[in-house]
Amino acid sequence: MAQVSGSLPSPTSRGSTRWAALRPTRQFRRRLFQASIVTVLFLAFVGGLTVLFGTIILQYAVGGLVVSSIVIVAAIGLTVLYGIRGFANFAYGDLMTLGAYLALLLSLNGLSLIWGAIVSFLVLAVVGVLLEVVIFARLEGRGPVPPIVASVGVGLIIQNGVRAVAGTQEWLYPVPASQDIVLIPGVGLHPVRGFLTLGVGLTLVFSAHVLLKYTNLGKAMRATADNLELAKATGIDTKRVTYAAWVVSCSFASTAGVLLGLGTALNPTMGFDIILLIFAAVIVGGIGSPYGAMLGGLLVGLSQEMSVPFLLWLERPDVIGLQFGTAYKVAIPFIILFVVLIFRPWGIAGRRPAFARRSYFIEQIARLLGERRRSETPTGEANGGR
Amino acid sequence: MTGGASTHVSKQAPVPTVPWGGIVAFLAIAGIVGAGVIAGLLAGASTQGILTNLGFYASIAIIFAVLALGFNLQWGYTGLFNAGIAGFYLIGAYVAAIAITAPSPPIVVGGIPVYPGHLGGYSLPLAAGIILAMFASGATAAIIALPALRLRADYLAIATLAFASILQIFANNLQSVTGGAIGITGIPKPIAFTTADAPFLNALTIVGIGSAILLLFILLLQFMAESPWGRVLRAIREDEEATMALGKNTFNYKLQAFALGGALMGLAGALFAVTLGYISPSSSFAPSVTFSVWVMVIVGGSGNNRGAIFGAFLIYGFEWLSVQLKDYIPSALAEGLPGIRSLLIATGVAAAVLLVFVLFVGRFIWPSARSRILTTVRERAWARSAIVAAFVLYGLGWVFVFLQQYAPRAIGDTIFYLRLMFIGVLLIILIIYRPEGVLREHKRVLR
Repeated sequence: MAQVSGSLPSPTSRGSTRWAALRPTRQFRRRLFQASIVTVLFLAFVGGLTVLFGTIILQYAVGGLVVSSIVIVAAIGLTVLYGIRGFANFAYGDLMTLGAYLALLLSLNGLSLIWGAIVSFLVLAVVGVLLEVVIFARLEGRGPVPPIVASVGVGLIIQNGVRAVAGTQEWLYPVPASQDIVLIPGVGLHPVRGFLTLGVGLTLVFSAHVLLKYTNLGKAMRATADNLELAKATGIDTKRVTYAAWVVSCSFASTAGVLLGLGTALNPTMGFDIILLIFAAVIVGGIGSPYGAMLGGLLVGLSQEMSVPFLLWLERPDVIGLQFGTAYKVAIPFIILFVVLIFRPWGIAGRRPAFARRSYFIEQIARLLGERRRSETPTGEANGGR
Repeated sequence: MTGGASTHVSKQAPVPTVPWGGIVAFLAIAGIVGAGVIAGLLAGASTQGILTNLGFYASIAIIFAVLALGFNLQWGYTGLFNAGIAGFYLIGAYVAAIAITAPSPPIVVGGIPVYPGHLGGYSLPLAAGIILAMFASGATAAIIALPALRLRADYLAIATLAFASILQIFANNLQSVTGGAIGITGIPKPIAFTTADAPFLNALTIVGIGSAILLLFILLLQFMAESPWGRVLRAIREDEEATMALGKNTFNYKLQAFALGGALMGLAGALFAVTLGYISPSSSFAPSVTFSVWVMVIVGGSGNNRGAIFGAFLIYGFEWLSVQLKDYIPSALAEGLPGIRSLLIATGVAAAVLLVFVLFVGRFIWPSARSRILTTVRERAWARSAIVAAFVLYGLGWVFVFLQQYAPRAIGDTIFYLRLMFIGVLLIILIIYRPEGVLREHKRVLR
């Protein structure tokens, strides 16, 4: 730190400052270090599981990556809106459904699915702005609950509108049938359902990163998410930022919906069924933090898919003979969610608030430990937790 | 009233205000019951059939009223937003069903398991089942609330919604306990009737038991809400930090309110199991139950127990009425289509003529009446709302006529989804324009 700041003002060492500007900041280096530790731990975990269960676990891991890429795209969209508008959009899953069905409608009427997805991306962006103008702008400054109620209303309208128009039966996208591409023996991936989904997901994640990190709009969005009043005071047009957040959020919802429909089939509750997984990803990562959403989505998607072999093991009659064990895989992300809510409610990548209230369990544990400490030092830390 | 205000108001005589909210509430419920009875008469049902149907409406509405009371205690009084009402309802229903049914072993026909059986067969009395259900739901609510209560309202909403959906997964798949997708059947009625009019007598007993329980809990909750305990809950809702600053342990109060609300939802579940005689995890405990209860409390007036009960009777009344009319409306529309269309056209022409007269011609014929009408429209909110409502109704009429003409089956099929869409629209409109509901909370002034 001292070296960098010392070398900046001197005009003589111009060349070295140029390179110093490119040196990663201390925070970034620390992040890199943490990320590499996480990656190593994860690889060790997968490797251990592979030794235990065989290469089938790699197949589940690859499937988990595909699910994760969908969840991550959706979670970024949800968390951007969450950060800026400050409410949990319960209609998000149904917006995904709407996007998926719009693409289906267009692809049934002659357009190719890719163009259908692009048009649905644009239409959903407009829908997002309309929702803000017609409904959510009127609920600003009334706390988190009224917008949640209104978003549930929007979700009910979309979901049942889709049911009334398209019926309750399942629809399939016109995807050409093809064999899975074999990566290593025993592990394969469908070219459209797997590789395309991963590719689109990565592209969207990268574009979100570029938008947030390298554009003025992204800077304004991050500032608004951080502190609305301060952002207003510095002259940021927060109204415009809000619209931009809706556009990003809803268009990402559309693409996530199309990817979700690509993976399985379209039905009117497809979005609502996955919304809790996305909420889990958002909260695990830390609400309002897009990078946390990426991490949370990865964790949630992978854990859901990779718990399958474990649940299959539980299904064996000589273990506990669980019936329909694999049906419980959707419960795994919620267990992670509850654990995170108990021990780290600001998320694994979120910033700890200055006045974070401790969770009940931690407080009890701290009290147990603290009593012993207090007996040693009479002054104690009576208010240390707050 | 003290100080400056009393100098202006010489007398403190209370102005008798017309209880518009109560009148609207009464008329709405009477309208629903009346429409249901008329639909039954038109369909040619017997008197006893209509009464049984009304008894079913009343019993399910009472169950929803108990749910709404629980949610009102959590949200209306304390400000804790519960999105997992269906989950606590499910716990209550399953616990009560397991406690009071007779043993039901798995059924295997020709080597194929037809029914997996379920836990239980304790044949306990109904009261024990209800108390167990309340205890189980309340305890679960407390456990769920522990990690989420210290956080913002939306964390609690997400955690409870997640919890409800996990419970539904378990109810569907944990066959040895819950009977799987088939659920639990053969839940005994409170009194076993064997006569021909058993359905009617059953409905009557349920209504009797349900209204006794409802009355008990209204009195209890009203007493609790007016006590110092209830005052702390309302203080937490208004400003939690300030309440903490006054030395109240807000966490404990919130935990108590949440657990009590959860226990009430468990009670509703137990009543539901007894009313229907069977429970299955599919539709009775879907998230739409949660959303319906929200609408009930918001329509009725959050923070007002009477409002919650009125909301339950009204919103469940819509659902019940839509089922009643579902069989009747399409055929009636098909028969009366030409008449309805000519009626709509005639109304439209008459309205257009009236509009032209008021706006353009009236100036020469009756200027004073014209200006009075225009002033009313300009200045009175109710007149404007009436005009908008008339337009919306007129448009809806045409929508139905066209639907009937071009997609005759659509109305019958989609009326269920239209009802849910209607609930969605109602949620949005109410939360924007009238968040305090029809029967608004009684404002208390401390002296």
